[in-house]
Amino acid sequence: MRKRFKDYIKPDTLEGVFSSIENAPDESQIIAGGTDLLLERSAKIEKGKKILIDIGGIEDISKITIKDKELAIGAGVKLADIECSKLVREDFPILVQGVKEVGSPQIRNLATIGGNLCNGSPAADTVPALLVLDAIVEIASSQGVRDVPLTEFHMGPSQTILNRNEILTLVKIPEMEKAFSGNYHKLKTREALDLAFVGVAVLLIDHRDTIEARIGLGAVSPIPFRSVEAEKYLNNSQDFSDKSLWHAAEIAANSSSPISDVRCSAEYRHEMVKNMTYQSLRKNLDQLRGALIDD
Amino acid sequence: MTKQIMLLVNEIEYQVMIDVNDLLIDVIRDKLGLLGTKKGCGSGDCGACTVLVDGKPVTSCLILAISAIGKRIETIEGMGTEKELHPIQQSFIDKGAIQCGYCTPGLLLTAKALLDKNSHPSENEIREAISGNLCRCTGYVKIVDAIVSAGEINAGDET
Amino acid sequence: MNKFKNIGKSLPRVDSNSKATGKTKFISDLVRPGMLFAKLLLSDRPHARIVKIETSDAENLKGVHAVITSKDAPNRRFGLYLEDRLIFPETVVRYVGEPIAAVAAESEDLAEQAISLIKVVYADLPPVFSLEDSMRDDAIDLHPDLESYSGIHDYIRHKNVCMDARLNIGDVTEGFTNSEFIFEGEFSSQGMHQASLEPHSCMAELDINGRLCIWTGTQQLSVCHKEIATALDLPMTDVRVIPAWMGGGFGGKLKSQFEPIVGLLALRSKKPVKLALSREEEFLTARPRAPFKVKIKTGVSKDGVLMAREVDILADCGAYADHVIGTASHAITISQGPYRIPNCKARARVIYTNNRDWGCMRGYGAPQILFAVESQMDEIAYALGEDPAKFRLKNIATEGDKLISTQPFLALRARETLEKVLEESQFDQKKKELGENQGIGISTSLVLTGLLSSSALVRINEDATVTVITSVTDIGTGTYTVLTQIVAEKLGVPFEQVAVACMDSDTSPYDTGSIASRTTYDSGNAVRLASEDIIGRLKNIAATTLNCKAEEILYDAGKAFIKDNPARSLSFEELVGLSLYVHHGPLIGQGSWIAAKPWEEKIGEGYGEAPYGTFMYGAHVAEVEVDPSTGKIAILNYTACHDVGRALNPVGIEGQIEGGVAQGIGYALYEEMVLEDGRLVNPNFTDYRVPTALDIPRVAYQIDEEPDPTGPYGAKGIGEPPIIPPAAAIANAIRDAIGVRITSTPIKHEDLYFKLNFRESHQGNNFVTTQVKERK
Repeated sequence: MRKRFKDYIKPDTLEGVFSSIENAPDESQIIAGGTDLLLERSAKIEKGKKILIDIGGIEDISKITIKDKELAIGAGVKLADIECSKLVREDFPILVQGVKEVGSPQIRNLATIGGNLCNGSPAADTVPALLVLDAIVEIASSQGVRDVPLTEFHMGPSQTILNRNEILTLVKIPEMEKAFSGNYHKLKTREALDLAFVGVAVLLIDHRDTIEARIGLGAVSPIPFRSVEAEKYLNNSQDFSDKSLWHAAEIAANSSSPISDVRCSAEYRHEMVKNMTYQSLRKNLDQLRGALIDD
Repeated sequence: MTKQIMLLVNEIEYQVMIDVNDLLIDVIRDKLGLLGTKKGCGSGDCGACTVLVDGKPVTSCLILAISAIGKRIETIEGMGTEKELHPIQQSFIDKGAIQCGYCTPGLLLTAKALLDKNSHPSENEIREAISGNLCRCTGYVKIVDAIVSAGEINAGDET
Repeated sequence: MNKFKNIGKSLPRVDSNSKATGKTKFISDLVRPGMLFAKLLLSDRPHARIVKIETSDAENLKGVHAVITSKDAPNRRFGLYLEDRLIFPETVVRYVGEPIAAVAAESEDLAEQAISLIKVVYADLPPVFSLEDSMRDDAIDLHPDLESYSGIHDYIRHKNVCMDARLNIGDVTEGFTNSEFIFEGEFSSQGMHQASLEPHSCMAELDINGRLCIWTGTQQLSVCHKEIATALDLPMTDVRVIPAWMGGGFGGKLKSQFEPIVGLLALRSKKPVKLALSREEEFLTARPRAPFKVKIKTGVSKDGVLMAREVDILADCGAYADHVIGTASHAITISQGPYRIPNCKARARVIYTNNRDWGCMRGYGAPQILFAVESQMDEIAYALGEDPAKFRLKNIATEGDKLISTQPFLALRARETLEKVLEESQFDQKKKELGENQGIGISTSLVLTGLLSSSALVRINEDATVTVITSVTDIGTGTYTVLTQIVAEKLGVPFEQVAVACMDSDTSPYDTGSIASRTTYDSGNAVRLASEDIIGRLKNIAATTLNCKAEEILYDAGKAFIKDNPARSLSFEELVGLSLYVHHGPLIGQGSWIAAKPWEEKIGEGYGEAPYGTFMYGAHVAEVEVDPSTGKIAILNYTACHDVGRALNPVGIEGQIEGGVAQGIGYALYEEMVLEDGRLVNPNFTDYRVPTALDIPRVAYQIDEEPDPTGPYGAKGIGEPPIIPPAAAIANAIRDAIGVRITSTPIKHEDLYFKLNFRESHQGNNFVTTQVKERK
């Protein structure tokens, strides 16, 4: 319905947000970029939500900073700004790859990282990259803040662990002090605007004596996730032969639970997890080894 | 909830009565009477409704008018007139980049934002920049040509 | 050397400036004081009896001015080929998305609320979704009164089949008997939405005479006008239709669609009423290209000469026949492709189902049939060990060869366009050079144009400017510009001195409209004739003024002069001045054009198509690379050649080629209306994928110009030909690249992946059979 909301508040501070929520907890709906909430066919908004609380005016959560060896991206930072940020491009290129896949340039000028996470789409392009970067989300309420690993943030499609009086304020990524190579690969049909059929993020970190593999998968299960079994296999075996990489890729595919939908079949998604994981492992391994040799 | 707000559009301050639920595209078209911004899908998937907000292209079907207070909004009406076309508009006309014309306003603004940032974009940079603007008529080739040409004119290169 | 002043010049479009500045008023931009907003109630059942529609709550909602259902509409069936529909269904709904009621209210929000207050009680009827099920003897009759429907032709009809047309030429049985090899294949193509960027919109009001006046985005002003009047059971003079600019048509905005509904709302409420469909409604209720199933059987001699062909087309028209009859008819007419096949048999059946209300789109049946024809041509070439280019050239139509409908191939350029595209694309060289998982494929194009009729008036104004009055709407293809060029050239006046008038059914003379690539050829001929009429009159004025016989006067480059004494001349302006008050009277020229004479004898069985005025040829070559790990297809290079007779406006031609190829690539790889039990699963731009700027390559092209003597300045058309070849060119290139033959569009990378990597278990689907029966 067009006249869904009866009020709109745009506080300057987080405290303002919390007190607005407290005034009408059942009716409050946080809005950031609005690109999911305002869709004509958006069924995401619960029936009783009548008051929009716009977090776009809060400076504290609209910045990208480095602090205590962590990159902290405010939940209100637009995806386009992450894409252009020198900091992020240099130190966390895999995140830029994920961000660039969302929607279109216009959408990215509106959408926020916080919104993308809180929307909770199983196919969200930012999440697999953030998962392999060991991202932590800071959640705030009038009671204070708490940190939650991103791996524990999503509970199901469109479901997060946020309580009614909480908002996501920061996405924190530990700085990478070692050499690494990673990429996010999205399988889609068109080169723009498409939602992911499958999303695979792979990050390999050089710990000198060992290589650590991290694999993040999107669009192939109710929530994006780290394929822990595949990672364990590689990290324990330290076998990075072709045969082993394929084996890891198979484990990753088996760890996913894709569905068939209007885009493609579950069977195809399964195959693609396998192929794309192998290719990313291979490519990043070669890059890492190449970089090491250059050293 | 209705509210009187001020919107800055094409450097003109408009006082307008809006409802909290009003989308920017509807306010621009129905309340300000600026019909050049077009409605194609209502879901941010086609780019026909693209306007510039603080110089950046956005799909106006996905912004509440009330959240556009204090921002600098540009629509096609602010880009040039028939007597004094913006160079990008002239370039689109000269290169045959306009057919039905429905996607044209959104595309012109997206192109303007691109060229304001990067006056010599590569073909791939152009295609990426306009990847959120669907065109059903032209197959995009002449649009790309027009943007390349406009960039050269903008930068003072020879045509 | 171009001897013309306006013809052959890439003059900027007359509408470009206005469109570039956002000043052009599209149909969805129109507003009126006190205007009401219309909304449709769409059926959510594929097949059901309407037991009851309760509208009182909606009527009582404050701000609602009209609520209408079938009881408020005349009980007058209408439809283009077959009169099988009513404004609202009276007793039975036939597809999910069928409008069954409408409201007009003071705001869009109120209109939505009113719709939600209408209560409908349905009694579900067994739905029919498959063509085979629909044709069974025990299938439910989707149109029990089928036999009683009037049509423009006496179609052969039987159980749920509203058209059963057959064409025959030569002796197919003998042709197959004399064939060494026989190839059989089954191909299918998807429902494709026009996806015009502007959804359907129209506005109805009472004009200054109190008469119903409907503004609409229509490709066919005259046809739309007639159909609205028929549906509303009014004489045409009681209804006025005015077209506004529209954001895309592509065959989706032909004749009338929602205008009668909005007209009724305006008559009811006595206020202006506007309907603007949302994107979702556009997908649910507007009329997209129909899915076809094509069986094609071709007999070939041992020397690789085509001997016989048999084609069987099943076309799903959904709830109503609409244009599907025309597309299926056009498809069997060109079912040989641009090749010599003396013995042919073709059958097309158009079948009712509860799948949608299918209509038509650019290409009008040609994409569906030529995908099958051109895919099979490659398979035949492979089986015979022949090069696909040479095989085609060996069988290409030559002067004297005939279509299955008995028309000879007119203005034949099939060989030339194929040779040119092969050269431009460096086909032979590339075929050798391309690497693993890369391939190159060919497809030809054949579309018939010169359809039905056009008329035009040319009016010379007192200041010697020229007004062209026609009812062919410019849907973005540059029609007005081309017509302006023709008239300016004919009259020898500057381009800027000529303008096409805004259209109005009250004043614009009949034109079949912007359909079938005909506006340059047919409407162009009409304005040419009208201009020549003017010239005849100018010559008379000159003769009288210069005191000689009319036969002694020549007219050229804006001057009338005595043949033997050119110094004695009068300029266009002078002649115009003389006409108004001295000789002849005000100058009004008329042109009335019909594309072709009717058949001299009966053609086929149940076949209602007229002969066409001219044929358009073309050919494309696609180079692709397939990623074996995902099945994804990249188009490496794309080349096109089209025969246009004469390029009246070269940049315009290029734009049509590039745009048509883009839509053809969408048809080949990206776009599909996905239905599950009659419900559209993807009624949005998220999952109905219109190609973006990152998906469409540049097109290298050659434009073939061999003037067609029947066209204005030799011009033919270009609107549809480019959309046809991409599907088969890409499918053939994929076949060349990885040895996988896909027989249905769109070609999905998932299918390619499994067929390539799991050949045994994924060998076929329901539609694939390519057998070779070798005869001794």
